[in-house]
Amino acid sequence: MKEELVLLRNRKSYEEGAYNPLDAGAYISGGGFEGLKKALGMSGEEIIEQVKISGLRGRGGAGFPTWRKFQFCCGGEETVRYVVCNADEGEPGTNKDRVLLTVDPCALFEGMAIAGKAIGSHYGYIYLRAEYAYMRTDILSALQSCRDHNCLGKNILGSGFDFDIQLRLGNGAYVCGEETALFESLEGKRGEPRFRPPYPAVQGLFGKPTLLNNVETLCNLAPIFRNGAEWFARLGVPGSSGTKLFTVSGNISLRGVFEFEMGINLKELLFDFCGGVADGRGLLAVQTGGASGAIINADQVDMSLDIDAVSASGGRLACGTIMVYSDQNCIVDILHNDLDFFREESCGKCTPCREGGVQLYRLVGEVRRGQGSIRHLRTMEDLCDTMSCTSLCGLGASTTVPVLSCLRNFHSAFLSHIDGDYCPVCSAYGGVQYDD
Amino acid sequence: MMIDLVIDGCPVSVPEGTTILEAAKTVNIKIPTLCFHEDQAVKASCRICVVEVNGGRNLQTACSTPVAQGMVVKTSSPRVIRYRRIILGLIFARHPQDCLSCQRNETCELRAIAAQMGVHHDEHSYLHDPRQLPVDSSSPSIVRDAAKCVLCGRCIAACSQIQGLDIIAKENRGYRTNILPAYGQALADTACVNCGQCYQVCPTGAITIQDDTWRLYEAYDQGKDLVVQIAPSVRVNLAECLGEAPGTVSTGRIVTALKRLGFARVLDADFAADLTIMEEGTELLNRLQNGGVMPMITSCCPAWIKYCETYYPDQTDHLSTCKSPQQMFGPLIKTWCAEKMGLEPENICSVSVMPCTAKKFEVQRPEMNASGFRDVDVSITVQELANMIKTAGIDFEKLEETPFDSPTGLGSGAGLIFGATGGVMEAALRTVYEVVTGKTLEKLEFEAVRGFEGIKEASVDLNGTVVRVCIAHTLANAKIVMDQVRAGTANYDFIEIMACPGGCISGGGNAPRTWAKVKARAEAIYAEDQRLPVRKSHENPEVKQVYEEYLGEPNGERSHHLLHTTYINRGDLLGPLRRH
Repeated sequence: MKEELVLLRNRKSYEEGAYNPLDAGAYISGGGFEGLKKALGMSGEEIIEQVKISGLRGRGGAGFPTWRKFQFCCGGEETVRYVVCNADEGEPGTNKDRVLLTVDPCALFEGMAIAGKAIGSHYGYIYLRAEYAYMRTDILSALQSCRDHNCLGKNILGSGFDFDIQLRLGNGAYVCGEETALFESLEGKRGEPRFRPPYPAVQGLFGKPTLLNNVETLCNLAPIFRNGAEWFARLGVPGSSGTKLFTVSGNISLRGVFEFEMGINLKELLFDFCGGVADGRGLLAVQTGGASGAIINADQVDMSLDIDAVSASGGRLACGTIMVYSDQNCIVDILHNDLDFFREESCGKCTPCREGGVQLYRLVGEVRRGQGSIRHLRTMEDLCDTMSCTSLCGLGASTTVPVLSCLRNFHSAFLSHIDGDYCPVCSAYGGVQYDD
Repeated sequence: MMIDLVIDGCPVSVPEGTTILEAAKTVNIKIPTLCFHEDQAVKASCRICVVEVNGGRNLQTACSTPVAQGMVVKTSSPRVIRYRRIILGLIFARHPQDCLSCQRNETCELRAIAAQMGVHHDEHSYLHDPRQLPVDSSSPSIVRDAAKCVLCGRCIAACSQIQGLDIIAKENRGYRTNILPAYGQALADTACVNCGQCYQVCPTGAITIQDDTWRLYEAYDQGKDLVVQIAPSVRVNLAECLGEAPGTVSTGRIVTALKRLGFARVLDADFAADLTIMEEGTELLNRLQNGGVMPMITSCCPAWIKYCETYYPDQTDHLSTCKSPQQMFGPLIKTWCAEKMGLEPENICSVSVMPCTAKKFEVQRPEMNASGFRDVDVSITVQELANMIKTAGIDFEKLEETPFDSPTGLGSGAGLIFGATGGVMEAALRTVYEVVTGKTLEKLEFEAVRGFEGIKEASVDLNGTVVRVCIAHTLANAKIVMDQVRAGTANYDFIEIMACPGGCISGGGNAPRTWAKVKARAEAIYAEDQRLPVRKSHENPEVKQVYEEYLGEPNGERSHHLLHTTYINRGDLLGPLRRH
């Protein structure tokens, strides 16, 4: 099993000190901005057609076809449009955008410029999560280097097309990864999502049509245009073309960010590439897609890591987080911890997410302490149903994904906690490990 | 373009851009709402109004979703009802369920929705665990009980969009989200102007009026003589608080009710408004003739005064030195009126019934003791008087009418229209015109200064001298005008500013407002003006009498002592960073 390095092709030389990611000249000499050059010779429709052929889908959350997002932003009479890069990488256990921004920031800028050309936008924003503030100086100097090489700014590469990028810092809220909350935050307001419609493609940042994509999605545009959309479409599996960055962490022997073709097998990734569960323990669960991803049990890990297969498992591939839990953990405990995160990170605007998160945390806590009943489980399911169908933004629905997948994939663990038998882990501590 | 859709099986045809909520109303379906307020921008945060659209799995909020051609909406399917009940159950789980002793009680919108949706206690096993937050009763006007807050955001919108102040905002996130003044300050320590517009829109008991009725019961028990003045707009607002239609005029019934409640004398603050016109009009003419600080700005509204002292302390020379009608009446009641009524000033408890929460702040201003006693002892709102009438078991609707006590129970139509935005200006123009030109006004109605436009302008020709006037209501509009005044570009002689949208008739102390109700109140006040025998302040015989017998002349020495005031700099309230 081998990595397929497309986005991370400069990683090795960067780590060896042979590649300066902040120098646009170094990026160009490795074939950088070739893709943009080609795109600048195309019309917006032609660019979107190429993206369509490539089969690229969003790498941030729902896996939405990228070309359709582009297309939505093209309509209307509005002359000012924005390209926004979502670098608010907030899912616990995700580090891929950090690696991309560290190793090859110019690839992101190139992708943003291609997107700008596609939808007729001249202004780009990068919304960087607060925890990555240390990267600010580097990103700014990389941006300046691109301007110095005429790859950003006025009349890019002599094409007559203007595009420039500004960097903005978040303030540490998970919800600001949600696109409309991100816009609010970018506009200097409290980071709360907006209701839809109007959709961002019509009224987004500062009320203008806005294209928002994840760092990894935008980074993919450069190789697509450099090597050709057909080349990209051949990578991966049908429905999920290209490569994907995975952040593997938790109780696993080899941890880190790796790039593979879409559609690799999760079990092979864990046991062949990453060397299995740490300390020779057994596998309890894997959570894919961050805190808002589905939690699957050890019998389910023989699955393909592509967008549709992971969605079918009740979760989403999304940011490519692979969190591994060994059998030294209690699943109810894991879920309780997850819900603590969500009750804290809900923005507090809409009732189902704010109050539902509180109640889910409390209900799971009671089950964990052996004070639960079957009724608790039923109430949890009802709550999850309500939250996912009535919340203002995706966060309310995301909260329910780990809950529902846990209830389905680890049902007996919940029942034994209710019966006072607990699980092997909790029993070792007499049932309750510690108080809240 | 008309859009055709089906709501609960009923075909509906509505203009493009209509929301599902509005469309449902056209077929007599009332979708419950909590964060929605008809005068405010849509928030879609409470999620109570969710409906099924085209059979989709995810529900949409009726308040925010525009209709679309061929849309099929279900507003009360079992699924919709189940979700709404669960959402309500989630709110109740963290809401103090002390409805019986809550000031809002029957007028609480949350309670009404619970009644509409039929929420049963045993439906879901959520632990009742109310938010543990302290009550802030530091302000003389407003009480904030954050534990009862449902985070609908209506108060924030009122403070921010109407007044442009942002005194309160959301802090923290997730389950710790709370609405508070910045840095957790007590409300009294902020630049809050006490206008009460946040109370006007709060659906629950989270924001209530500081209750001062106990002071009246206490004064009554102590054998004090309760002398009460009724603000102009009270007569068109009180009946509404007791369930009658907005704009119902109940002047005579209010006097009867107050007498029954034990008030010794019931006087009309319209008289004091007329007195204000005499003083303010004279001051304006003096400034015009003697090169005083121009433009001159009205000083009737205590919320506006605090705003000016806080945000424009360098511009207070523009303010008229006149006290508000309430505060002019105060010292007069304890001097001349006391003598006329045969009451001892030290035994008088001077009370005002006001549409205003900021008046409670104004009566506490330390400098307001011109007669040697407090100018006014207690100020209660229309709401509080309505509560006293309810408590006493008085059937207000069937009450007979009683005239005000005399003297100082007679007000002119000019004094009455003080209640609406532009009213002070119109009243002043009626008097100033006749005083300056010596001619009788043919048409008393100055239409240009009426209406709800945020900033109105007009000019009046006084024997060759053109007086340019401006009227602004809401502090967001006041800011626009005051920035011009500060920059020296305000091309006016006289400016009227009222903090509440529409003037005192939509003040914080009234029944909860909407623009539709405020319009009805304004129509009532102008209709009453038409009906009154005296419609100009300077023709009010009791005003003439008080000048002849006691005050001398407007802006004279005694007037100056009793009826005028000074202002202070409250810039410190903004903190070191925002001070101008």
